[in-house]
Amino acid sequence: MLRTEEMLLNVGPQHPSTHGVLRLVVKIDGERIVEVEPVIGYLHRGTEKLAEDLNYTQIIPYTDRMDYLSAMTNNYALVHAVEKMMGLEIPERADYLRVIVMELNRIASHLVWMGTYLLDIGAMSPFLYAFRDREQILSLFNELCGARLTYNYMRVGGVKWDAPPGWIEKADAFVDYLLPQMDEYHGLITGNEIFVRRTKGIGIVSQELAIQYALSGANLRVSGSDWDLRKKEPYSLYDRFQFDVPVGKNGDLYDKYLCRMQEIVESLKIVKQAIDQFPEKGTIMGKVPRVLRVPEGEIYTGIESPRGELGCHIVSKGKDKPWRLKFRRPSFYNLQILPTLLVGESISNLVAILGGIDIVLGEVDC
Amino acid sequence: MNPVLVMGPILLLFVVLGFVTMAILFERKVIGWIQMRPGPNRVGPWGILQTVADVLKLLIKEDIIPSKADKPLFKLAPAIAFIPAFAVLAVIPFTESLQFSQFAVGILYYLAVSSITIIGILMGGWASNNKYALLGAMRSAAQMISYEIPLVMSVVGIILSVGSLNLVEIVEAQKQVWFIFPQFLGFAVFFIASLSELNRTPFDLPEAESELVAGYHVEYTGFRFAFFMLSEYVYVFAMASLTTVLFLGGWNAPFGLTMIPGIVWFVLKFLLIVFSLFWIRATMPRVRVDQLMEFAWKVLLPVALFNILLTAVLQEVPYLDFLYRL
Amino acid sequence: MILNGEFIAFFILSVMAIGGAVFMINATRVMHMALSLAFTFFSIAGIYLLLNAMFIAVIQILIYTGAISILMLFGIMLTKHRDEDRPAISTRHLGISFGVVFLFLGGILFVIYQTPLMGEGTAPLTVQELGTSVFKQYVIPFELASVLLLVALVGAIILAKKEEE
Repeated sequence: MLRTEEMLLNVGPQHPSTHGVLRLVVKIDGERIVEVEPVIGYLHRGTEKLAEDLNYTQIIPYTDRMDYLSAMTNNYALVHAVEKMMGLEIPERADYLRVIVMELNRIASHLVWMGTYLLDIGAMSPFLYAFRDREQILSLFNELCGARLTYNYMRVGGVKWDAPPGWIEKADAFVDYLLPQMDEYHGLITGNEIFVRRTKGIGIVSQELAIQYALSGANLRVSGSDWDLRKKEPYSLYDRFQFDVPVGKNGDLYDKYLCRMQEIVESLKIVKQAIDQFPEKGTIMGKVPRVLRVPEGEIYTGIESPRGELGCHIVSKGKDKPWRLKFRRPSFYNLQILPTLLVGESISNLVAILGGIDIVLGEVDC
Repeated sequence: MNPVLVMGPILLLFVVLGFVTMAILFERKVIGWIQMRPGPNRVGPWGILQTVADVLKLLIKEDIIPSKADKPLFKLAPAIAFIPAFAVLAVIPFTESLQFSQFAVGILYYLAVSSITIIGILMGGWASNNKYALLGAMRSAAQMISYEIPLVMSVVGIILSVGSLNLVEIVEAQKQVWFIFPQFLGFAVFFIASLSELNRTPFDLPEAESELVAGYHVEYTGFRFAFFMLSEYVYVFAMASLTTVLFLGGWNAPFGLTMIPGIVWFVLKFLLIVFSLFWIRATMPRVRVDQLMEFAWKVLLPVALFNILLTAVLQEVPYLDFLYRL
Repeated sequence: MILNGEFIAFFILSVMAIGGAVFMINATRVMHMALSLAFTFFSIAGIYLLLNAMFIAVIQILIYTGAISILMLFGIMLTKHRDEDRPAISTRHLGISFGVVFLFLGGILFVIYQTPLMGEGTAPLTVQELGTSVFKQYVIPFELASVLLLVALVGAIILAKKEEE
């Protein structure tokens, strides 16, 4: 090998492929990465601290802004923890609506991931196709709660809005539309030799390493572990649905891609079943006291967000505000493995590996 | 001095500039259609003046030269990148009558002169005094040099068949059969290598916006930047013309449809090549830099060499030799 | 001497070639040196063209301007270099250098004047003729040159390997 000069390269925070404002200080030797130091915090808004001064309903819009690609699951993480602590009963109709929007949101989030990931490795068109399909989900949400990104939809004890007439049918039609559409994506991307060569065998995460770094979501499942909280610790109504947890074999980026694509299909299956079982009538808000006073104590609940285990840890002193609120944001935990994965890789794999982790900076910085 | 000889190149420059304007619009439209969006449609009817507006914007932009840049080289680089792009057009015969120079070593002239552009790119990247620009320039240069070799090797089959380096003679040799058929291997190698020479998807690493932000021209603005872009599109023009001349029979009409003038056939074939460039851009992801090099040296070059061998052998095979000995 | 287009072109190209060479020696930054050298190579290609040696001219651009200059630029970019002042050269050193250069110049001039040049009006050498003479008449020197290049290549690899250890 030729001796070359080490160079310090600053990637971000305004770099198009860091998906927000992540900064990476990369030391490279030629094209090889010697050291990586992620610098985070550019999007820190102090959500957890702010929450200590807000009552539980007021916190919900703040959770929207954490993982802004799947705000529904964020909403749910909070209300689920509060409901569990207060021991509230949720009306069935509300629970079904929650599952439908959460799964649709998971699909939307994975579609964004797929599009931007392909954009990162240089293919332009899948991005636009993915956004075309995601747009339909956003329209559905728009009709349901009036917002396209930050929904503020769930409430402790139920959901804020009932499905407008015809909404369920529209959601059903969307599921029927997207399922065959997945074949188009596979035709365009999955078999593409260039794509396969850029992702197969790259960024391999072994199961042991993944567990050591507390990875969750597709980042963990890709290494062969079938850890999915929807199956392992079913919350909401997930024990009523038939679905599989896609796992990878090799732990590389290609498997990650396949995993996430399969997760879209599984989510579609769940939405389909939820729509079939959807109760015709019913209320959408359970019996909830006017002022939400959570009994004194502590609780941790985890749910499966598109990015992994989204935990919510509440410490309550019996007031209407949390004494301390802590979110276990999957992106933050998943990002930690990045330096380990990148050292020794070529700089041209940087973007591919970073993109594969699927981070949302709003969630990393919180 | 012959007035045609003086006015011709000026006219060609305007034709090329017109082509570049339309090609950029066409590219954005085609990719737009493929991606199910309308493409540019604000400036002028059907967005026809979009590129004009873009160029105007570039021209009235502030001309920024980074203070730590090597100023003379920074200013010189776009010109050095552009001049060869236009100079290579001199040897390309568009029809029997519409050609500028009957250069005896036409193909070699094209390949040689086009390699000077790499110096311009390296100069620009180095003079910018920016790490991204430097990396981009080095990638670009390494890529263009590596792919120049299979590019040259892939046309050797044609040269063997025709026995001349003159582009006009090459076109005339394709009166019966276009070289894309007997020289299909050569065509495949040539087309892939030319994609790479043109820095187009899937080989657009020098401008990998997701990795290098923009590549060698990050620090350039205004019309210096426009010059880099211009030279890239002039190369599209030149390379599509060269592909037409070498493999698609130039101005020769297919199926004996000679009542349609040769220039129309040339333009049609030329547009087909240009369209496929855009089409590929909308479909393919980008290859990685090490795979790019591997592909040039381990796949394209052996295939090109095999093509030479094959051509030489087939020249001696009865019934087939008419395809290979013209 | 007649002042025709060819003479003017020759004059300009010569000035370019010599100017490039002078710049190459006088420039302080290595990058500028390499670029001046490329410029000189390019001008020499122009002179070949004037001599009706198109093939050689094009090959000169392809190999020297295109490949070798870029290889040098690459080498410069990839290695560490500082723009430092050169140490002063002693007068004795300078004298010896000039002596050697003058001897070299004299030798070259002697050879040039000894060689019979082709008169005007000879047809330019076609590529075919060039090929035949290289591969028939001069095949042994040609092959020897390729072997020499191969040896150089192997040597370079061995040197690079040694450095690694």
